[in-house]
Amino acid sequence: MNTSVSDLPDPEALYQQLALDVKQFIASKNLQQPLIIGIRTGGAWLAQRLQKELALPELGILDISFYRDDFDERGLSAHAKGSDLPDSIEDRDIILVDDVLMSGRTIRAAMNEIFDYGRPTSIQLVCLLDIGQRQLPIQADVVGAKIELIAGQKIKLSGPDPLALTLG
Amino acid sequence: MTRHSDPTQVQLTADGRLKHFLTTEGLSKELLTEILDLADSFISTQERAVKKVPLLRGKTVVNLFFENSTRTRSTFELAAKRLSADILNLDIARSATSKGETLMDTLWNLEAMYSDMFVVRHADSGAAHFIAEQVTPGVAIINAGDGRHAHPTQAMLDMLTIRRHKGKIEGQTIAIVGDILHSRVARSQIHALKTLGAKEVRVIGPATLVPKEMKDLGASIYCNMEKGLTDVDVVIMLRLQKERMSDALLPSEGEYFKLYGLTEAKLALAKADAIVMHPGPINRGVEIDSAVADGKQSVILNQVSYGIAVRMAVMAMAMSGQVAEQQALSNKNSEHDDTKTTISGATV
Amino acid sequence: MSTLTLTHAQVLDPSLGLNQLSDIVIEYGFIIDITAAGKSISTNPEFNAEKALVIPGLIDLSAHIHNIASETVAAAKGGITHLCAQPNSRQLIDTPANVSLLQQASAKANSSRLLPIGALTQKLAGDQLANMHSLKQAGCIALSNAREPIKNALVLRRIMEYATTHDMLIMLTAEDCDLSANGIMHEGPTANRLGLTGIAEVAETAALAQQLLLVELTGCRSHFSQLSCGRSVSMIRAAQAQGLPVSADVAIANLMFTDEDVDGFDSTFNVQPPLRSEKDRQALLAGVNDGVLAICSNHQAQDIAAKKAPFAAAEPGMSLLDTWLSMMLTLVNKGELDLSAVVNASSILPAKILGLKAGLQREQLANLVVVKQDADICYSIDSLLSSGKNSPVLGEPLKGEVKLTFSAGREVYRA
Repeated sequence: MNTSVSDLPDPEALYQQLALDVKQFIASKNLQQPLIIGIRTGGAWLAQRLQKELALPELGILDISFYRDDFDERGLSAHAKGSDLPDSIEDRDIILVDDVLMSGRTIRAAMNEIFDYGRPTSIQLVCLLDIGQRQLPIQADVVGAKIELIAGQKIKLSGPDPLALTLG
Repeated sequence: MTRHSDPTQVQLTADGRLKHFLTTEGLSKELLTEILDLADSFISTQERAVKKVPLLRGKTVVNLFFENSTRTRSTFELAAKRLSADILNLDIARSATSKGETLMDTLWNLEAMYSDMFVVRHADSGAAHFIAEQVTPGVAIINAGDGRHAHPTQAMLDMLTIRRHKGKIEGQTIAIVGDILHSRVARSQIHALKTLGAKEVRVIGPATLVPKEMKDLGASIYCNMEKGLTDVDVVIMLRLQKERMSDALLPSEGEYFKLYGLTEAKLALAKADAIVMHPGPINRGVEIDSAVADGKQSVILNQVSYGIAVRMAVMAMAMSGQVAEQQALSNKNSEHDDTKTTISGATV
Repeated sequence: MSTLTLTHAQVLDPSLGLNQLSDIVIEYGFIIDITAAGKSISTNPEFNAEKALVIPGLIDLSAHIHNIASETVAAAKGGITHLCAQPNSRQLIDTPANVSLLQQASAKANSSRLLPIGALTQKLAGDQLANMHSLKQAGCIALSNAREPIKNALVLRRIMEYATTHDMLIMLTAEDCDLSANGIMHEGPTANRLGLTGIAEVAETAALAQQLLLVELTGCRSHFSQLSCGRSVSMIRAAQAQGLPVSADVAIANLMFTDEDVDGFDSTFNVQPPLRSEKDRQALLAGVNDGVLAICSNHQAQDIAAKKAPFAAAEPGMSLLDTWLSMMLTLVNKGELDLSAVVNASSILPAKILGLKAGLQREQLANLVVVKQDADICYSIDSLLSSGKNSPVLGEPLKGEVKLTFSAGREVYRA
């Protein structure tokens, strides 16, 4: 196990702020009954909490294992569990939730998968952490915090209760 | 005296991942369960508007069928397409290939087309195994039936059927009825069922069709169908080929049906919630009564739909194992340490 | 013809009750003297055979020979001085003309001696008698139908009667082809697991029982080739006890391997007769140790392509001339065979069966092998002289390295 570094933000506090920002964001966009979809695994934990907190009736879980673009380097994830989305996502406003935003490739894969389920009206992106290093033109609509890592560093969210961030 | 490497391990990478799928024999419970879990995930993708996933995009899969089987070939074709692979169908009549040279020639020709996976059906036991040993590293072989030896994807879709209808395989009593001798399906089922923790696997049929060595695989042998079906949870009926009569293995279809055909009366001896399975195509009135085949305990049609998901699962896993093995090899060769920033959790 | 004195050799010949350190004096191909070590008097060139074993040359009762030049040289290196060629060699040995072609090629190769076995039936088809007497006159040492079936018991009876008339040795294989139909390996747990069609033991024993009854009827001197079942050994033992003129051999593969070696569909182990159970192997070993069975190589060279196929589609047979002696000495080293039983089964007994001079007798042409019995040896594709690389022991640690071979008075191999 890696030890927690003191200058990492406290994920619980970060989440509380994120939840408030998401509420405000939904109100400002005037989204009616948005569908929260979390990307397995970290994003799914956050999405579960947000769904409760916002008292929304449905939750979607997305497993992007089948949509990754690095199959030729890594093969299939041993933990591919499949996605669990509501029957229809046609004409829905989707709040897509992930834990850490980096290259943007996960979000690209997630959006491709969502479109295989149907045609949503909009997709908004919510992330707990944005660590930069983007390789695709993707930006989050709501971000908990932006931090910078030194080369070779990894960051991992563990949870779901309590949430914890570790560097490695 | 000569000790060969464990033949069942040819299908695994050094770290125990599937890289070919040749037989259910020798695979761990964890690996068989992983196949079933992944197949479950693919069942959910089959219920969507777009049934394809882009997992094997850019890969070329060749259906190499030395024995004709439109049904099996079609499910592999559909599975490959739903994984976004390009698929080439080759039906090679057995008569066209004389001996091994031609089989090897065929193989080398196809490899020259940059194929990534061969789905092989062949009349000779061990053919898929042979091809897996000869093929260029990086190319995955999926056994779609070799002689009497194995038909592992059929067996795994049967496992999935049992798990989805009975909740689990552990503790179940399963009866396999009919021509066990010639059945690659039965052999693959027995291996998988024993590994996955079935309580008892019974094989039922006359001594001409049930070799006594089946007990060495862990099955119990019943010649009396009534006794054999008593209190079982699952009944798997096998197809009876017409040639068995001319081979003097059986007197007539009529006598066979009387003794080993599944009727409602015989099924009543099994547990009340027992399910009836058949790898298809069924011979109504030969091994199974129409009323049973179409009855409420029959899950024969469900089996067919699970077939695609199971084949997607093993194709994805085998290709994945090959990719990982090739990557590990090239890392070993280049030996250079690149400082990629990676984020763990399931995402990047 | 060669002249040489072998010095300080451990000479073993159970037919002469010989097992002692000796010198052997060979002049112009003939064994002139066998003396206590260091006591020989000759001006011959010497071959230091210290710490080596000298045994009578191996006589192979069954080999399939396609390339005479390469195979006789491989045999010489393997300590085999005489080699019976089955009639289904490159040219069917079913006419006197073909017999002499074979003999000419053998003479030209000038290595270990080839002894042609003629066909019992025309084209080995199993229904019409071959010109058995002419074949014998032309030089066939015996007659056999290779492993091709003689389906009709009446034809077999006529063959036996005709052979008895002319005092010919016939070699039979015991296999009921209806019972073994489509079979590819021993019927047992391995065949069932692999889904390969089995050949039941009864396919051999039922045929053997019928053949033994016909021998009893006709009095025909019969040799049973390549027995594979334990039960068959007791049947031969009982027939011999009864006084029938019968002998038998076992192929080295059946002494060394079992059906479990087929596991993994390795087509190297596709052989006829099939490799059987461990119980059978033990009974066959016992048959050799008590002198009932001779041992043959049953060598059958195959192209790489002929073996590179799924098990059932591969051609049967193993390439064994190079390694036969090492395989037997490995079994001796493991305690499964007695050394003197090996010499008896691979040289003395075959000589008696074929009517050849047996052993290391004085005034006879030298047929002998000098072999380092306990030397470690490991064969590779490159070290095999046979044209067939389908050896079951490539890379396996074996015992026994041949240093010198004399066949019919000629030095045919020296390491």
